[in-house]
Amino acid sequence: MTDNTRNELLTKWLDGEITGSERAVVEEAFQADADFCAEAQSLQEMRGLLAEDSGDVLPHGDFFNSQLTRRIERESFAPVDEKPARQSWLQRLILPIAFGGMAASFLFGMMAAPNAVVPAASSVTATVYSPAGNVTAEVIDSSQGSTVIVLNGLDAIPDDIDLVASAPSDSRGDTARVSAIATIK
Amino acid sequence: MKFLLRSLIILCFAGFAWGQGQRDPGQEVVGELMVVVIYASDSSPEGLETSPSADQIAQLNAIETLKAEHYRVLGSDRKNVLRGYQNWAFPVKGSDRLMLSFQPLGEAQQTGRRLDLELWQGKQKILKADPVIQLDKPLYIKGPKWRGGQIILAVTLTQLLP
Repeated sequence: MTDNTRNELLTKWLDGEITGSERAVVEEAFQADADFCAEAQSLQEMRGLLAEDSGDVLPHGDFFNSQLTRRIERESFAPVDEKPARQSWLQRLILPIAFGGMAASFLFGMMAAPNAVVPAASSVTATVYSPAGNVTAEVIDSSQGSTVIVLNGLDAIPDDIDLVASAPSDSRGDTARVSAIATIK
Repeated sequence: MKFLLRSLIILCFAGFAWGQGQRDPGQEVVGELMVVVIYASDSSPEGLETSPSADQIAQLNAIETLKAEHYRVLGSDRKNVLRGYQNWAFPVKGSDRLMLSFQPLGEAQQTGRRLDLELWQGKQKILKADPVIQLDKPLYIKGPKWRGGQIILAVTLTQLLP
């Protein structure tokens, strides 16, 4: 008799489901093998103790089993979820990408800076305009480093005004102040 | 007794004036601006004798838009640049025909200073600009015509203080 057959018969003997012919075979095995007999008796005693503790009655047994099975499945499959793992992989890449971008921008700025247009050392003018109507102001940077503001459209100073001698002031009053076009070269 | 009283009054006024000067850092002189009015003409200017220096003539001739056969100085004025106040230059003596107001904008740069400039022709403001005037490098303003020639203002920072 193989071990499997013997164990199967032992289980049936413990559960009380064994048939007449099978019982004869098992009892013969008990007599032939003292260890097997002792093991059978030990299992039978343990079974009796378990039956006493549980009262041999488990209330709502099906519900208990289904809840237990569901919890086991949930705990078993929880670590298998790959979504959080994929997020952490992206998060690990974000920092190197950000630092790389900053470094690239810095290097680009350093390379571009020498080529930036630096105003000449002459009179650098940011704002030039003429509030007088019909007068335009134009800025010219000469090759000699001087800056010239050219006012176009001004009324000529009358010839009878002597700018050298002490000329009387000529108050024409306030005129309408219209913003003029400032053309900056 | 009268002498003592007068001395005390004078001392009080002097102390007050000194205190005023101490309290207002805006009146601190941070530079000097020279404004020269130059007449440029291709025809010989009659009655105008004062010529600019050779260097000035060379500079003017080097700028295409200011080129002329003859240059004459009509007047000039030097005024302090005050840290916190507007000041005025009247290069044409006794006349308000051409006036220039100026006021510093910000701190001094290494070789110049940004100024808020306003050029007035009589009571009409004809230019507003905020150039950085470099030390001893004139800013030229090509202004109105007069007697067939051209009026040019040379604005130069002759002194720069921090």
